[in-house]
Amino acid sequence: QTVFYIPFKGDQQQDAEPLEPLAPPNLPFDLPNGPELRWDAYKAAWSKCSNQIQTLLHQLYEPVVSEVVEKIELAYSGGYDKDIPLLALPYAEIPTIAVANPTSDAYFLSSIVSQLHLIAHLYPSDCANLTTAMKAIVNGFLFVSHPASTFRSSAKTLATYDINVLLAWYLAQEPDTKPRRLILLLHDFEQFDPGVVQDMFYICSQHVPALPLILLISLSSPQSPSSPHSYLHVTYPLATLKLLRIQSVVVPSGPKILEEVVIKTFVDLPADVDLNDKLDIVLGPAVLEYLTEYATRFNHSVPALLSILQLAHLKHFLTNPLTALVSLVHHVPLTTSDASALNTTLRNPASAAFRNVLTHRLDFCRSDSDDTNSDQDSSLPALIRALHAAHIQFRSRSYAIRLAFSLLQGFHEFLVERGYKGLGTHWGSGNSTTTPTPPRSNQAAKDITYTRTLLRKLKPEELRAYLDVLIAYLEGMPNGWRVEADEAYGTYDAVEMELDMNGDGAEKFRMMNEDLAEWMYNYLRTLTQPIGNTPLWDVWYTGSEVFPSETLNPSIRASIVAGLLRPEDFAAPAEPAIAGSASHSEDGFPIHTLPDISILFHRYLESGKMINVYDWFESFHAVLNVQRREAKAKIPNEGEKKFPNEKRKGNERAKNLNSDLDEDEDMDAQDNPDSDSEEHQQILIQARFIRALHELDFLGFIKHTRRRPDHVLRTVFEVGD
Amino acid sequence: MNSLNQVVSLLELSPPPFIFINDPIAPKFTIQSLLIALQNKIRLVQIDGISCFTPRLLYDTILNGLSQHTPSWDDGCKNWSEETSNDSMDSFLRALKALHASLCTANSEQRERLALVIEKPERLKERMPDLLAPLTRLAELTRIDLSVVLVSEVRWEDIRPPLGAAIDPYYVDIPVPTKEIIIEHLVKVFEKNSSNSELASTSTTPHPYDPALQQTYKHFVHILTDVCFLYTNDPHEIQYISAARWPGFIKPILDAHRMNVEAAEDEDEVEFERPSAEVLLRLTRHFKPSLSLALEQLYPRLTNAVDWARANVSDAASLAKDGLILGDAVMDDEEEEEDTVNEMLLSSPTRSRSSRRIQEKKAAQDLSSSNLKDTLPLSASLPRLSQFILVAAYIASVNPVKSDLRLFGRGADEKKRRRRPAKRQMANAKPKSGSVKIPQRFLGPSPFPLERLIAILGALVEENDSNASEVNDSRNNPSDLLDFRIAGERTDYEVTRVGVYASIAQLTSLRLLVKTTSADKLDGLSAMFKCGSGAPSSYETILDLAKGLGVPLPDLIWDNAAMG
Repeated sequence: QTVFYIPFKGDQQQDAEPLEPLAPPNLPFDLPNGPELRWDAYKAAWSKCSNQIQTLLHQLYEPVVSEVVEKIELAYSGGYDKDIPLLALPYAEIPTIAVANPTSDAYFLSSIVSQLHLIAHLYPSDCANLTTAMKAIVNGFLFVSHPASTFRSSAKTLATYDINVLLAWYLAQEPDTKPRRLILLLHDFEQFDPGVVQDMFYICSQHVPALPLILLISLSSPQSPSSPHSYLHVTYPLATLKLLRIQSVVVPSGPKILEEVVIKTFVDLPADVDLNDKLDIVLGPAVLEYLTEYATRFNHSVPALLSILQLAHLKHFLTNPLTALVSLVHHVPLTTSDASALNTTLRNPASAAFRNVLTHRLDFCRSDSDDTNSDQDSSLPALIRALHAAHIQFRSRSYAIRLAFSLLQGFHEFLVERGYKGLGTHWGSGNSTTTPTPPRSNQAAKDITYTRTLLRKLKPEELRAYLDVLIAYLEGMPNGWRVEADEAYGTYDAVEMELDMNGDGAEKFRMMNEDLAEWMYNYLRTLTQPIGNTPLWDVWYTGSEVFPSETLNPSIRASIVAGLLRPEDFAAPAEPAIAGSASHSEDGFPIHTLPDISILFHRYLESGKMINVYDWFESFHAVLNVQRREAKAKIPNEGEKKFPNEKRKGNERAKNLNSDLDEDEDMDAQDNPDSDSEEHQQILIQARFIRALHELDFLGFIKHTRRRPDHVLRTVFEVGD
Repeated sequence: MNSLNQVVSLLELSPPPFIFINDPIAPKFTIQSLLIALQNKIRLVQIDGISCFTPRLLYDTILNGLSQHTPSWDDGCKNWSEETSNDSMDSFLRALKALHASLCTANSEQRERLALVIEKPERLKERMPDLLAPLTRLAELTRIDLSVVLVSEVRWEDIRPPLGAAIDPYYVDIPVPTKEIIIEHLVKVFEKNSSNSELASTSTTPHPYDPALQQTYKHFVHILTDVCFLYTNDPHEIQYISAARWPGFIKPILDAHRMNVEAAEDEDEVEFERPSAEVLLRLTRHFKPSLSLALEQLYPRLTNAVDWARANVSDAASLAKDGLILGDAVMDDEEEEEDTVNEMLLSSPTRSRSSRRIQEKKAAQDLSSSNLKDTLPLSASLPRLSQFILVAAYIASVNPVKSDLRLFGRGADEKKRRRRPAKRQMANAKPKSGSVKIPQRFLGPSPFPLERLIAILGALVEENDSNASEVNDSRNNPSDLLDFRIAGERTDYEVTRVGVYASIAQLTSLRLLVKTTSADKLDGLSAMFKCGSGAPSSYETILDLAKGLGVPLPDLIWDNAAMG
């Protein structure tokens, strides 16, 4: 199902919450307050995830932000550098900082803005012409400095759009509080009208040293502003470029930055020992794969990343009733309030089904109680304990897999550093198409085996070097994980030290190496046991659940055609009378039960390249006659009258309006069934035909020709069902 | 310069009411010289056609400028005139008369002469065509001693108001600046800077504009002008480049002097003297390649003078190689090396010189590439599908519509279609009479409808994007529930996704594609696009993109011969 039918309900508040219609109201085994619980859990999980990503982005942007800020601060002193005094410029230039920000992430600009004072924002919509643009600049600065006061212009004063007003204002500032620079931030620079901007720059440049203006240009085109192909150089004439002193800054963006964010968020080991701060749910390979594919193919901007992740979270919490546990079972086990919340929820008789599922899934202490329903009170604490145990087990499992990944990554990097090929190209960094996802079964097993082979082949000094790296790494591990590794390695390290001094070390070394490789192999194998083996894994793990890609990126044409051909898939349940009718079959509905536009479209597909409108109408008429007969047969039984109108909403471009009107017509027809009903019917059919025809026209299925006004051209051919 | 002097003396003695100066090269430079020459002699105001974009601004600027009145913020930015003077030409003329009267009463011994210098009058004509004729007749209308000077790159014939409404101007044509004029100007700038008290007072060590260096500067300017004169003869441009290069050029000498001063700490002050002819030659040899590099990068403003100068300071190693570490302390070691270099030059003059030239060239290239290294290629910064869209857009832009089916049509009758282009080429080979067809490459990109773009994109993706189908197969995609039986159907499905339209919209907002139909037309079928100017319509860029995607672009260009 690629299309959602959102019924039109006028200007209601409901539009504010678009998630509402998506929520399937009843899941099996759901808790009585399940939807709310899951909604809360979703909100908590998502905010954690998005906070994490924002923090990472902030770190990535930090150096660039400070570079821009520094450039701005030096803009009016940079020319008089100690090393290079540049005094002989023919005229003053406006210091301009062009920021190439291909993802056009507002977050970046806002963090720049937060560090600066006196910024006037200029948007493309302000600059329809030069007057409004200049007015926006003048008012922008005046407003920023004194939000209360505005400049009132009269016939005897300067005009509001005169830059001399700004100059007068600037000169009137107290010398000690005088702002040292005025920053003009141009958002979405590509959208500005170049003609207006040229003149604007010229006017600003006339006043530059007296009025310390700085232009901050936000470009979203990918080329760096210092290349001759950049937007600035291609669009603006030399005369304008001469007025500016352009310094360019390129914001990190693109696949690289996404890769870094994704790896750091979902793959890297959490820095914290007690795993508390990490995300609530773990994303499975299906989601991550879709993420990388979407990023490389369509859009690698940060907002796209966020919306994909948000959708994945939403879907996880919407489809699985067990996910309510995410908010109920906490990381820190059994503080009293948590326990009681969980307790009361589970104690509720309405959640019996939920409890049953849990009991079956956890299969704990079956011997205690043969019938869980009867003595639920006694088994409840055990159940809660089991839940916590499952949670902890899941956490350690997912940690283990991350650890395995990072060990493999470390080994790979070690090899690459020494000039070997490493574990293969798919491990190469910088290639985000293969962001490795921890539980990818086949490849991981292969890699682990290969690691064993490679480890065996290491030379003594290399092995020592690797062990140094490895032990240093393992030293840094949190407590629970360090012990066993330490144990294994401490001995190896010690033995190897001795080994060097012995003369006949070769044989011994081989053995040692063999042992190490074997140990590593086994260790990695244990670490990478599939996450699905833990009980209740699906509460915290999205697994290989398919990402709902079609909701994010549907194929428009296919969806529209599908909607026209099979409207019942999209909106059928609204009309149970039709759905239950005898004519319902596997192949779909007989054509006469479809909405008008679908009837027309069926006939459209059967026709040739050109369609004679009159023939089309005739065929439509024939179908409607069948429809009428059916309706007549039904009226005595059910009093069901208005079904064609109701169903017309079936296509996704539902027209809400005319149904009332049609109803009136129908009512009229009913009022005087005998008199000129036949004639009336004809008019009605014609009207419906014309309307459906125009709907198709509006959707772009029809092209008109001048030469043959009674014919229309098809625009869509060979539609696969 | 002669003609400008003429204007100056005219304005001083008995000005004609209306002078038109035509300077096609450097009007800004002309105006600056004019203003400097007339400073303190007559009362004039300089306005320009861009800043004064409404009549009100024009009147306000002229009146405030002539009265030398600066509107102050405290009294609400009041204009000079007490009366309303900026709502029409009449009130403006009245105010102008009043202004003149008040000026005359203020200093009664001499009649005050006014002048109006208008830059870029052609813009006034665009914005306020009605005002141009009265402006030329201002003296006549106000009956005061006033002269209007228009300075423009355009000829008067092109902006003259119709029907002879304006009076005929006194024509002045400024000739193209010669090398001598440019050098004279640059030396004047040098003098101005060397007398700059601020700079002189800041440090005891000599600065690049020290009067002692004037002869060296003259030499430098001669070389610079020789390099640049072929490309630009705007004195301001050459001044810009000189400003960027001169401090770096003279730095070794200043450093040497500083070192000498430090060495001779206790002794008397070391006299700063201008460098000898030999040093000058060495400097010239060392810096000559960087002059043309400066021209290449600074003239089109790929970077700015400050940054360029900072990036192109010669490091000690390369200076040493050319014997330009001039302090006495290191001089001894240098001489040896200099000798060997000289020997080399003597032994095989041609080879070593040419190799040296190659080296220099290489160094220059390295410099330029390092300067532009943060240029992002499109292939790295755009998602894969957007790259496909750009290639498709390029193909749609340069190929005629009729070629699409022949280039991309695949099907049962493939053979038949394939043959036809060959035939056509044979026909083309014959010399044809009639009008010569200009290759599409020189005509620029032609617009194409959105549907055609999508269709070509589909063909490209179908044949060249194995990647996509793999990913789709491996993924348990809901779209797999749809049954794609017909070849290409999946591609058709993929190509009409929302993401594709979103990418096109995104590219349009980046101006890599340009929508040629108006945005408020909803009819999707007739939306026309074309490649944006610059990178997306250059063959080389698109070829790079296509190579990265595995698209055989040269085979898909119809008029390939013209692509060169």
